[in-house]
Amino acid sequence: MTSRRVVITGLGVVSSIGLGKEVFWSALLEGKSGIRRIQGFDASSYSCQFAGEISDFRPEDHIPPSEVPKLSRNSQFARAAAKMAIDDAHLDFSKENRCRVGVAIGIGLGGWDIYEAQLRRLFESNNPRRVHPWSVPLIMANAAAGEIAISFGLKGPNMTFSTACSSGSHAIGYGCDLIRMGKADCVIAGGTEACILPGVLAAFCSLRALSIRNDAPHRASRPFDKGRDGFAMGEGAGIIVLETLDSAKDRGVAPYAEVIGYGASSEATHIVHPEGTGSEAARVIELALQDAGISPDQVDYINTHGTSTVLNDLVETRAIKKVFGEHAYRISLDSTKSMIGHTIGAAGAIEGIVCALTLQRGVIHPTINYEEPDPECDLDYTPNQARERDVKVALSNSFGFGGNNSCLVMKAFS
Amino acid sequence: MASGVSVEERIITGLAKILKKQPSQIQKESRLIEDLMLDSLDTLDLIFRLEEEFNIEMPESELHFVTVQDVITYVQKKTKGE
Repeated sequence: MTSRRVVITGLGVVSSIGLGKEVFWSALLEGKSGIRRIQGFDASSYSCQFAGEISDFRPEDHIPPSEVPKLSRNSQFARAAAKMAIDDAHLDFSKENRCRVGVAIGIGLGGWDIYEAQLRRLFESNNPRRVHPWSVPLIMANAAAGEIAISFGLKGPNMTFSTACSSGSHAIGYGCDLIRMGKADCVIAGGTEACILPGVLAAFCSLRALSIRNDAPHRASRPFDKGRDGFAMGEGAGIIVLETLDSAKDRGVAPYAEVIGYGASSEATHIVHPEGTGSEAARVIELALQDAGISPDQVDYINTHGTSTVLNDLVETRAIKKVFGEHAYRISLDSTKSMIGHTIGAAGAIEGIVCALTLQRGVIHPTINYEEPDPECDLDYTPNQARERDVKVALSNSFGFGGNNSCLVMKAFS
Repeated sequence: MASGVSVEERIITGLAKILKKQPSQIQKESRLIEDLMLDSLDTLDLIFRLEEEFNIEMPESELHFVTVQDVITYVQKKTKGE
């Protein structure tokens, strides 16, 4: 197959530590935490009472006000981040063949803000006619992808990936595949999630997946630290512009990075527990490296899945050692979730954006709240302080419930 | 009739909200689809709001509105009947 090189030319981020790539990036380098006590509803009876909520997002600043009520919160995030990415890439779709521009979006749940509100109306009134007619188009998981296509008139393939915590990563990987296969020339790809809601939080609390460090929310997400006790929920969106290298050159736009590999696999063992030896997580990393055509010793940096659960961080460390051997100790690792929590369907996409910025700028953001080393997690997680490092090849790991694993490989663009 | 004026105002206000217009931009003679460009989901939104606001049920078989006045007349009849 003739190789069509895929580059990233635009970035858009909506996060609890900043809106837009520059504010987000500065906050990451400072090691700022976006985790606080939940403001959106009274969470005082929950075992976990904090999350990475976004407090300063005003949809009217990003979306025509008349359209705001017709979008769930996750679609508002996605629309805002897509606009940022498209502007950042200096894309003018009136000059492009819109039938060759696709959309690929990851989302774990969907418009559950609308779903929970409408269920409340239904049960309180005991009258099905009280459920709003707009509910279905706002709740459905592919609403965000549809809204992006409609608002920019993008008529290429339009796909939604719901693979829990790896959704955003798969969306980017699939977006690259679409371009490499020649099915699109440009793809607006990424992920979004807004599910810090009473019902969803209760469900995650019952699963005992969340940290219960309620006395110090900003210190609760502590990937790879010995005292880690679960993750913090987050929300947000990360959207990027993927296009062929030729198209970026023709338009005179400098890429952030090149996406050179994508691995996708299923553990096929347990619906939520990762396979304990790390061999399944290792397999997806190897698949991505093979796809990229590079050897393990060329990797300088890994943005880990790093959730801050006891099991994930241990298994991910084992997987990295399996793939990289002694070289694992020379790789810089970090966890974006230490600052913004786990943004579920958006996580892999936001972390892909972090990889692109790391490659472009040569700085690795810290993993915050790393206080006590865990003897079983003994790699270089970039504890607490950002570090300058010339990064040529970066990986982004994402491991989702359902045993859905994804790994992206990116290369510095020179 | 005071209650009639009130129904009219409330319907026009509801329509204005759905259409993101000022109430003064909506005339009683305006046709819902052709003039006000209500799409199918907007129409469902309007029915939803009217049922809730006036505590009425609007079965599909009774919905034959062309103009804003048709809606007003329908709601007036419906609320008087109760």
